[in-house]
Amino acid sequence: MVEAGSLVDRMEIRLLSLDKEGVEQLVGEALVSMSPLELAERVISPALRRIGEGWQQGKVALSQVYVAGKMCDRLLDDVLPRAQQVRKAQPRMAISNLEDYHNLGQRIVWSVLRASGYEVKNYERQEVRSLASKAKEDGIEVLFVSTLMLRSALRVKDLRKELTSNGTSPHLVVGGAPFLFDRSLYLKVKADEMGRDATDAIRIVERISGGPG
Amino acid sequence: MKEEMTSLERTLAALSFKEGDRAPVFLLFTMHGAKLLHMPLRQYLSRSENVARGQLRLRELFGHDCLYPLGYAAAEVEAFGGEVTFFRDGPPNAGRPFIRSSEDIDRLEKPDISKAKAMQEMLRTISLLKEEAEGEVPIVGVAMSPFSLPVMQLGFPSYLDLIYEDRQRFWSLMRVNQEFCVEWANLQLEAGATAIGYFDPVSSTTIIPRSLYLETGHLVAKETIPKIKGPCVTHLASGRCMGIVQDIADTGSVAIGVSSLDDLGEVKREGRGRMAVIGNLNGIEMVRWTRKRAEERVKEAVAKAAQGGGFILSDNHGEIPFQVPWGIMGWVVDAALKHGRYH
Repeated sequence: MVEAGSLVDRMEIRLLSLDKEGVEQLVGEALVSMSPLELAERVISPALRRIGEGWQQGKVALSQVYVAGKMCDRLLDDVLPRAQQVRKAQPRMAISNLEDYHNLGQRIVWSVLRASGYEVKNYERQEVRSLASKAKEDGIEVLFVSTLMLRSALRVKDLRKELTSNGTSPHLVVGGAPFLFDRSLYLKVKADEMGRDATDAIRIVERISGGPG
Repeated sequence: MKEEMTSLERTLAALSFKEGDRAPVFLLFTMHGAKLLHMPLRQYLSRSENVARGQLRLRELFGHDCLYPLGYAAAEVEAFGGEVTFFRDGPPNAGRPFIRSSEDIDRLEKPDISKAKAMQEMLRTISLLKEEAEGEVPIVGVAMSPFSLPVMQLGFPSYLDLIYEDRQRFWSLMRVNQEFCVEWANLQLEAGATAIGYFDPVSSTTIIPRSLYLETGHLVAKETIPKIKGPCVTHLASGRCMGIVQDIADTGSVAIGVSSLDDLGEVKREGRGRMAVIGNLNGIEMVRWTRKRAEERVKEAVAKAAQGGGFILSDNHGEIPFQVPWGIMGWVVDAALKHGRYH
């Protein structure tokens, strides 16, 4: 049986080298001794976490995090048999990009969460009102909101108001450049917490769902 | 105490790694003029007369060392036929990407700048400012780098996919964007800009690894910047530059805009006298600075980078957020005058 730890090391290296064939080979190797969900939980998610931590430390670039997340997300979709597409037990989650067309963060967090075995609705770009209404309709319990500009980051406060007036109160997690440059901004806009990157998103979900986080 | 210099003399001294009378201060306002003129942002940005008047009034108010005719960066995608969304309290954003398929890249042509209204207004702003500046104040134009413009043309994820998966089309897009960027930058210089801010956030090590930068954004900049007939400042718009400082110096840039995520002193040392540093006050955090905090931040930047010249105090993004109050900007300038003097 292959040690998960050694698979994580190799997965991280291959993902950072964008070695798609190497990653596929590794997945094949791992699936001999573990289920697809175990693969997500014990190999893919830890590898993506390390890559995310590398970004936080300025050692890895955002493009590498993006490609790694996307590659794993697609692979996991391929290996999860259609009939077993029930992912991890988890709160109902969604992610959105508030008022911006050019945001990369939302796409990265979505891919990385999915590649870690979580199901997350992707609302793409939304305005405050439409986002609050979608969250209510889907009974969302954890709402990730990514912003690129300070102006849209400040709109999160309006989103909170709109959610409250809709009678919904999802756990509101914000991320994106404005929150990285001012670590207390999330408090000002009445979010519950901020994530620096996709790694934090995984941690937050694990904590909420009572996992390793 | 050294004799008082004009803003242009002070800036040229800084760029030549000489100590002038004090470190220059560049307050890169694009929206605050609207507040001064009591105008909605969209109305303010629609006319060169407004922006020129706003810039001159802001300089009267703060006494900083540059004029910044930039209306909004998304004007460049507007020229390509892209949509721009205006807001009452923030910079206009490029709307839905207008390049939606590979074939759109194959069909893409350089737009005719003479027909691009917002860009023409910016050129007129520069001409108006030139008349007023009387050769004493640097006018800093802005051009998006051909390598970073596609974030607004395609959207960020699709652009990264293009870079990684279709290098041939990537280069075909670069050819169009390079021609456009060079023409736009040179028109600004002809209109009276003193220097061009070459905004290139995608080249930052925050966004792509150095290895990829060397085979993409770096090559683009090395081809583009020498064709711009005036000094260029590479600005990574809050992105990190450590690890590629020398590479950026190799592009011919005379200075670099530094992120608050990087250490200003380290970047200056890494530039080894080849590039001055501009920065690196955190514009987002600035919104809630106290007078004490503003003074600490300015003092820290000056301590790290001012000695021996080669330093211009500025924000780290190349645009001061609309939400930063007047009072805080005043504190920044006061602190710069107090701590930024050379003796």
